Amino acid sequence: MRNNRPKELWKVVVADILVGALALGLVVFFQLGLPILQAKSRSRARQAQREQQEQTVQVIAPNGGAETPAAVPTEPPAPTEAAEPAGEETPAPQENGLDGLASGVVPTPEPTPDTRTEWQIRFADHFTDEVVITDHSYTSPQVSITIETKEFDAGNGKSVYHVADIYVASLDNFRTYTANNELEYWSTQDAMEMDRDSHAILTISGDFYSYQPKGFLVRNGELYMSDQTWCDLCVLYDSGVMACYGRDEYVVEDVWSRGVAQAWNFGPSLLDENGHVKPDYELSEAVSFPNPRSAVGYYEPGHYCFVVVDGRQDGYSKGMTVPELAQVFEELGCTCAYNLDGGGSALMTFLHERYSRQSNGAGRELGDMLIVTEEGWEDRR
Amino acid sequence: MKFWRALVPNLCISLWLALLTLVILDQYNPMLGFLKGRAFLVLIVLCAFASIAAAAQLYGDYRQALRRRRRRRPPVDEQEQL
Repeated sequence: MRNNRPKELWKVVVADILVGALALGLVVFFQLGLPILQAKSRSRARQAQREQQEQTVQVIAPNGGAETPAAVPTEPPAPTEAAEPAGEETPAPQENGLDGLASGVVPTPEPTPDTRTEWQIRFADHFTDEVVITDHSYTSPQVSITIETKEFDAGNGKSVYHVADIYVASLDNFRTYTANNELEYWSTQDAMEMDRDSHAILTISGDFYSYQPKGFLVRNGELYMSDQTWCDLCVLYDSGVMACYGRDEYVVEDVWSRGVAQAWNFGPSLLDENGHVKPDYELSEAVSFPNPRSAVGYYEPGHYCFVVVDGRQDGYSKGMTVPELAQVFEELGCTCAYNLDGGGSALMTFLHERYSRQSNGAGRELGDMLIVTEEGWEDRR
Repeated sequence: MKFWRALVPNLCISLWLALLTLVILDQYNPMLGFLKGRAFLVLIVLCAFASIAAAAQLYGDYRQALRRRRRRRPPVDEQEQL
């Protein structure tokens, strides 16, 4: 009997470990597996719906000639209440020339209506009539970007960070580009490829939505998921207002009903309601150390900023902690700021070139990027 | 009965091992949100019940052992009289 005792103990230990693993597996399945399956099923349903819509429109569209009907835009631009897309419809000149002259009536030129958006009028000093590009700035009638590289030293090492001050004519110029231009779980794409595919003037890494099994996620007006998030939430409304909420400070239905252009899940939210550094941040130990960071800030509708901090590079930049990043935004004068995916993902590109120094050098595949863009800007360079 | 008596402490150990693993995983990647899900809450509740059951069993065993010891040894007064 005594000879059997060690063997029995061994069996008991193995059984304990197996039961523990089973419990762990169940938790992981309910926490990750099930939401992943749901997300995939939603993706499939969305894809099927999109294909059905395309087929319906193809049938309805007049098809007089041999030409194939025009493709239907799969992602409608985010609706904006405050700002209409600028310069889309220039009124045609009045054709009263010959008839008018013959009858001796001098045509009075009608005053050209002001097609500028509310934001273009408000920030007129920042926009230019022509596209003006330098190594650190881009200005046009619709977009104004100025990038500055600064240093931060809290006494324990230098950090280099890049601040892009952004003015846009409408939210059509400030969007999120998702990997492979699709809303799919686990969809990723090389950051520089995304930069080129999105025709972006300026990009920073986003919240890696595609690896998030649940949350409240909206991309360019399209609802991807509508679960209550476990983290702070950042919402860019159709009006251009950006707001950050703690995880228990909002109701998904209420927020969605107000018209959401973007909803990002990552965080934390960096500033309090008065635009000051918060007294404390709920962070795990792994992300509380100085790290490369990526964040978006908000001043007022139409005026935003991107900040990317270089880090994990000895002798150049060590990175920032979250309170240090919050301090940067407080000094910039933002009223709302939100931390996005940092670490090896933190990247800023400008005019299709890397502007920041990514910590892993070779780059990384990302789920999404925040982009500032303008139609046809590459042709006007 | 013997099986259930053996099961409770082992279950307790297993569940706490799983809980500890989740806490460690969360330290490395809080984005997975293990500690904020409902499944984690269920695990904690199970752990709590298993722990209470194991403690009650331990307390019962202790009382039983105490009773046995008393039966074997006569009370102090009886010893003095002898």
